[in-house]
Order: sequence, then C-alpha cells, then structure tokens
Amino acid sequence: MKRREFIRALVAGSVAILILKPVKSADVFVYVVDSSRCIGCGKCVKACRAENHVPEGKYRTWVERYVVFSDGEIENVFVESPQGGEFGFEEVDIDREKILRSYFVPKLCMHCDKPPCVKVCPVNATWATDEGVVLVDKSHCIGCKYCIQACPYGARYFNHHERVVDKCTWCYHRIMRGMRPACITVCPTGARIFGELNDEHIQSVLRERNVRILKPELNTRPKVFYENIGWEVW
Amino acid sequence: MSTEIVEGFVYPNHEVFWGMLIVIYPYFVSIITGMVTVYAIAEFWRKELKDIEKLVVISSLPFVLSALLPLLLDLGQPQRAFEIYLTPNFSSVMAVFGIVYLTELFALLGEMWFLFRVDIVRRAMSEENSVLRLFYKILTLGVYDTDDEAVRIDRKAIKVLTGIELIAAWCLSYVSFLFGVVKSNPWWNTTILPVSFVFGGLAAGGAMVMLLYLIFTEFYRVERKPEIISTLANYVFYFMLAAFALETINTILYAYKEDVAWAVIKLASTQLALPLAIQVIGSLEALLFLKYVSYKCNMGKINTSFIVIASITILVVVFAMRWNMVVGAQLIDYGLRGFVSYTPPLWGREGLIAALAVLMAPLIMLPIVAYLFPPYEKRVRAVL
Repeated sequence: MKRREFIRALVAGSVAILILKPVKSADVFVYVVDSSRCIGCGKCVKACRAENHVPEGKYRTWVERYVVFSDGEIENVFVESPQGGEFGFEEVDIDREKILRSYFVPKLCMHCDKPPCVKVCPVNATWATDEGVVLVDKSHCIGCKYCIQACPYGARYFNHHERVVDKCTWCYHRIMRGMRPACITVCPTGARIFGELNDEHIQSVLRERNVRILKPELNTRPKVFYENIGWEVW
Repeated sequence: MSTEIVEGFVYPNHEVFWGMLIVIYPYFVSIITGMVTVYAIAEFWRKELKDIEKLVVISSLPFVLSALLPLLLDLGQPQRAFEIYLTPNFSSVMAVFGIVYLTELFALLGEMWFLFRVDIVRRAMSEENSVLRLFYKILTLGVYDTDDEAVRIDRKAIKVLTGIELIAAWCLSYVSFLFGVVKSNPWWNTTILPVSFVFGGLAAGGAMVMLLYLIFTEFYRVERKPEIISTLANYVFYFMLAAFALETINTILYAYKEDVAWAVIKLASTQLALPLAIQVIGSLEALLFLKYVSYKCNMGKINTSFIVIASITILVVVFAMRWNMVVGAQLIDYGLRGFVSYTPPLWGREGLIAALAVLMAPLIMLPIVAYLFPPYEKRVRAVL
C-alpha cells in the first residue's frame, strides 16, 4: 500500500468510526424520592444489603432524619442517620413545641450525568452506562479510593474485604431484566419512584411536582430528584 | 478503627480513606521538586552551587524511586497498579501523574548517566572487584570516549535533560491538583493550594540538600563552602516565606468569608492542634534561623548547628503541612455538618511502623547510590 493510499484509508476509517459510534440510548433512568412519604422504616436499607451483599457498616443507600427547630431565634437543624437508618429511628429529644418541620430523606448514589467519580478514576474502572447508571468494575478497580474522595454525596465506600470501591448500582442486574431496584420494591409507602426518563409517570412527576437536586452548585447533574425537602438538605 | 465521629452528623460511609502513606507521598514529591529545582538553579544560574550538582542528583534518585512506594502500599489492589499505564483515564490527575513520574525518572537517570559518565568509564577500567567492574562496564553502554569534545556534549545533554526534569518535577508537584480538583471537599478546593504546595516543596527540597551537604562533606572530608550554604539558605528562606504566607492568606480568607464550610473546618482544626502549631511556630523559627545562617555565611562563618536545626525544622514543618492538607481535609464530612478524628494505627499496611519504614526508604537507599556513584572525586580511583 502506498503512503497516499494508507493516509486515505486512515482518514476514511477514522470518519467511519466517528459516524458509526453508537449514540447514547434514550433509555436513561431517573430516580425520584418523595420525602413526605418516607416513614424512616429502613426496609430499603435492609433490602439493599441483602440484595447486594453490602458489608456491615457500609451503605449503598441510607436514610437521614432532618429535624428543624427554633427556640425563638433562627432555625436550627438536627440531622441523624443511626446505622444508616437501617433499624428505624428513635424519638428525638427535642421539645415538640419547638419543632418546625421533620422528615426523612433517603440517600443513595446520584448517578450523576457529570460524575466527578468517573472523571478521577485513573484506570477507567468506573464509568456511566448508556442507561446513565454509574458502575464500578471490581475486577479492574485498583483501590486508590480517589473516586470516594471525589463523590460529594458520600455514596461510595471502600469494601475492606474485597479491597475495592463499591457503590449503589440501582440494582443494575435487576433493572436490565425489567425489574425494579430492591429499595423501590420494598418501600411500603411508595416514597421512591424509578423509571426511564421518557416514562409517562416519571415525566408527569418531573413536570408537575416541585422537585430539586442536591448540591446543584457542583454541576454534577444528579439523576436522583427530591420532592418535599427544605433548604437544609444538601 | 482509626476514624471516629467527634461531633455532628457525618455520612455513614465517611472514613479517613487516605492516611499516613498518602501524607508521605506528596511529601516525597515535594522534596523531589525542591531538589531538582536546586539542581536547575546550579546548572543554569548560580555557578557557586556547581560543587553540589552530583550530590543533588544522587540524592534525588532514592526519593524518586521511593515516591511510588507509599502509593503502592495504599492501593487496595497494588498488583493492578500497572493498569494506570495500560488503561489510563487521561481526565484523571492520578493517571497523568503516572506518565509525569516516568518522565521524571528517565530524565533523572539520563542526567545522572551523563553527569557520572567519565567516572563510570574510569571505574569500568580500573575497578578491582569483578562484579562492580562488570556493573560499570554495562553502565558505560559501550561508550568509553572521555575526551574534551565528548565531555562538552555530555554537558549539553545534561542541560537539556535538566530542563525536561525541571518541568517534570514541577508537573509532579501538581500532585496537589490531585487534591485541588476535588470540588466536594472545601479544604482542598482552593486555588492557592497548588501554589503553596509547590513553595513548601521547594523549601523542603532545599532544606534536604543543605542537610545532605553537611553530612556528605563531613563523610568525604570535603571543605564546606560558606557561599553554597548562604545561597541555599537564601533560596530556602524565600520559598518558605512564600509557602507560609500563602497558607496564612488562605486561612484568613476562609475565616473572613465564613461560608458554610468554615464552621466545620474551624471545629475540625481542633483535631489538628499539634500539626498546626508545628506549621506556624516551626515556619517562623526556621525563617529566623535561615536568615541568621545566611548572615553568618556572608561573613565567612558556617554555623553548623543552626543549619541543622533550620533544615530539620523545615522538613518537619512541610511534613505537618502535608498532614494538615491530606488528613485534615478528610476530617470534614462532605455533608458539612460534622467531623471525625483520625489516629493512625501502629501496625498494618497503613500503620505508623509501615509509614516510618517508607519514610526511611530513601535514606537507606542513599548510601548505596552514593557508594556506586560517589558525589565527590576523593573516593574515585583515578587510574587513567
């Protein structure tokens, strides 16, 4: 092959690769949490642990309780998540008269559209699938823990037994078979909604209800949306 | 458990993930940057430092070789470390560090080869020990030409390699970007951090060179030159001053702005009382001592004990700075509502004993390198 032919073939090949590159699937999943429905029972945390063999003391999902109270002055915020809320919550030791609002907020990986964890992984062991799910390849992870540091939501943990990083996958093994994540399935009040972005129900929720994302100032573009939470949740 | 919740609410997965080893890693990188910069100053600008060229080069090598050690020990899966070169993610600062590190290592090895080439040839021809003779013969790479023209070309090659090495060393110092780009952590996410990190590194590297100059001149019975100490002390003084000033400005800015992170940073700082005190008091003490050393040297006198105190203080201060940067920042929870304490364990891969062994690694390697490549002529048998 002559040099000119080689260059021509190279350019044609590159163009073909660019054109044939698969476009991102439209089937992007999103997750909506309605805090007003969450009763803090911890079933979601338990189900997640059982389904994904999450080690003790680590959490792919957890529940936080927010109690905003005032003693005549500015609002004070009390936050807790004893054992990730897995075993429920005890009564809080704050005078009921002073409590302005109180609610539970389930937390999990935000599966960001611009995930800082994916950006910092030195070996491409974590990535976002076409469905928008951020995953970790445990057989490739070197355990540098840089992604844990980069995650602003505290969603990643270090699995000390396997010596790699782990996180919520939205039960990828289930959702790719048409099932729902374990946490969604067991929620007794329907506080968690999961589906494809162009799903009719999801569309109506995002259109009609006042949803917000956490830490928008970091420009991570989370795909977990929250309803009925106050300024104190970030 | 080395991490414990002290106050407030922290995310349930929160831990101090990077411990002592990751403190040592930027510390070594800092020293390398400083030493390479001192070498470049000697090569390009300050001819009075020519005498310490070989000393600086052979001392840099053990630190460069040891720099990967803490990282490897900290990895959960160290056997997969080479994946950084096989499947690199170029948007990751850590992956780019792998490439810069190799550049630095090869530039240093090349520079060392050219700098010691004449000595290597001499020893390849005169060494009595057959194993060593073979070692030096291999190192000659078959080049035995030591005439003036060849040496002139060596000097040119050294200049080019010094330039590459200097750029690589400063890029290595961008390891601070590794922390600076973590936007989720307000302690790391500042513009000043990479700059103050570089200046701290320059001071630490300069202090290490001063200390090694005293040790090597004592060991080889070489006359100490006040102008060398004076020049080094001056450079280290200004580097240290810049590092201290930048760190202070950063803290003042944070305190004045009083954003949501400051409340928890302020509280978490109580866990860092000792390293913060070392950082502040040590910096001021070292600055005073350095000025005094420099003043004395200008009068032709060398005050050895003051040089030792100033150098060791700077090395301790920069270590405290790295501790505060790496561990301090991780004490804060990303929820900004609480903080944890961290006590390094004694044993284990991330324990104090292992960390101490890693810290000592370059100092153990140094006599071996110095034996093979003596920095001063005195020990070289001139047969030719």
